Amino acid sequence: MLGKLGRWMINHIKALLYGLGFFFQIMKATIGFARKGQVGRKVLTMQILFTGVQALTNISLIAIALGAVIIIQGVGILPQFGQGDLIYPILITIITRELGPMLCAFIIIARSGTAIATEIGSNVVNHEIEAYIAAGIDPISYLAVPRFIGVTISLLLLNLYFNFFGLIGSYFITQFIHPIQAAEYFRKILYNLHPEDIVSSIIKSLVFGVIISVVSIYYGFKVEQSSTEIPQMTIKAVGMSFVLCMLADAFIVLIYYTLY
Amino acid sequence: MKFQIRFADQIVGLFIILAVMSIVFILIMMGINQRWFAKDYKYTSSFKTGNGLSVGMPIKLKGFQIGSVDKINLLEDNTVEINFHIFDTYIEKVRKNSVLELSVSPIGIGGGGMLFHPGKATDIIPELTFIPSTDFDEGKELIAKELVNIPPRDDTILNIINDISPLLRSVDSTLKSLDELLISANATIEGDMEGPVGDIIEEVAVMVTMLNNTLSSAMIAANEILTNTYGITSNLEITTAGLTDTKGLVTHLLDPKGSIATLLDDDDELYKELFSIVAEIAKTTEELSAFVKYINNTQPQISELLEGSREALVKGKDVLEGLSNNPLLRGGITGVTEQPTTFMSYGEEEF
Repeated sequence: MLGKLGRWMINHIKALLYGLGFFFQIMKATIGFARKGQVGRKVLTMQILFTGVQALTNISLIAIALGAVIIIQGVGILPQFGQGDLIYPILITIITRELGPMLCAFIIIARSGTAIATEIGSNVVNHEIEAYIAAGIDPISYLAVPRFIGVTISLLLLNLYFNFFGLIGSYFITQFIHPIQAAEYFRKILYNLHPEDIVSSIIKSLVFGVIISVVSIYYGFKVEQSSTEIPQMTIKAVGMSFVLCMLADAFIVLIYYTLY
Repeated sequence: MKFQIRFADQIVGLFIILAVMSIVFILIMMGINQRWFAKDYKYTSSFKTGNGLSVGMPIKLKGFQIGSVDKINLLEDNTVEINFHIFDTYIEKVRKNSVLELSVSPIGIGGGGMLFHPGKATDIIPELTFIPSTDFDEGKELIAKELVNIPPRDDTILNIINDISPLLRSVDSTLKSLDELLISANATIEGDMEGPVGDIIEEVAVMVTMLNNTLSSAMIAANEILTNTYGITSNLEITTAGLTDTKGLVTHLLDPKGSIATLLDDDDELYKELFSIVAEIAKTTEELSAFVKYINNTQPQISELLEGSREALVKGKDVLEGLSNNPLLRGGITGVTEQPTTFMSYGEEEF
């Protein structure tokens, strides 16, 4: 029993150390990515296209719907307590600081995290990784780094778009149901939006992007021989990404409320 | 998809540029809105308690935000020190003898805030100096000496109370009017008051007197009628008694010296009377004859009228038949069962 527990602990510590080593290797390769040629940049562009541009429709729709719901509910309920102006801090807290980065992360996990884990897993099963190594191409530099940078940048940009659509786009949808004066709305939004909210949102999206890309690539490379391992590792990548994103979110929120 | 892959660089470039532009735009607008590039003038003040104070609390003058609270500290002497700033656009309002007042809602929900009352002096208070609050004697003294411009309170409850005062005055005046009206009514009822009601009451009194006199006269007349009735009743009793004895009455009637002989022996008075009655009957008969003649003369006109009515009914029937045959209106008019007339002359009656 004690031996089993010890082995379980040693295996997990080894896996953690391996994961940290993998992460640092990616970071190290990322630093040298700018010196890479045209091929690496093309992979990065395609990654941003698939992860960022193609997810923009979903992100914008969710942002507008969420913002509109908050405004409509808030404008209907809060003035009854004489706290009508609270709608603006609530909107910023939900869209910018809390739910925006998290919802973007969930969408990227579902769309791109699974795709990356599956693609790299297939490369491993088809011995393409061995072929890259045989040809003198570093698979981390060629496969992992463009995906890492692409997902991180895409998540950051999608988060900005989410904020833009959530705070501004939702206003126009709300006009059909509960008209508010545009000048007053935008003035109060801008008055209640503080730099620390934007910084917190940017940090969250960057951290989530790093987590999703590294975890997906890690589990993709973890596939060893059989193609049946690919969906298993994809599921593990999704689960682990969710858990790590939520833990990171809690940690960043803790720091935010400690500082402000 | 092919389009996206062919123009991937351009699409991704646009995607990044738009996102960067949007965040830059939002940051610039935030800076303008939150006065990042404007100068604020910092001051300090002190209060007895920190209740109702908060960082970021707006400082208002006549409903306009002219600054906000930056920091709140509890000092060693248990007073609360606040650091606040005033916007550069309102710096000319920060004059000597200005005071701060912490307004707290009496019902505890909203309505509170930090009010700035500018001094009446013309000198502007330099930055980083102390501005007294109404919590302490220094501020109260400035107000008592009328060195501070205190605008009218925007207090809802006070406004309601102010609005109620004229209403109460109006109610008081109405009650006074009602009281006067009741006094007048009482006086009128007692007859002390001149006017329409008094006149009516006086007239009623006169009428009652007259009615009393009339009733007295009527009583006298009624007594006379009763006396006469009594006499008639006595006579009738005697007559009835006479009639009861038939033998006596018949004998009396058949007697040559009785009543009928007396009646006929009247110098033809009865005959003359009968003759005049017959003449009257003849005259009436003549008038009746003339009326019948008139009716006979007017009968063709009545016949013509009836004929016209009949023709109109025939035409009306045709119109109705036409309407009922019209396919657009068919079924639109409810059918009526014909009811034969109950009127007929005796000549048409079948035996």
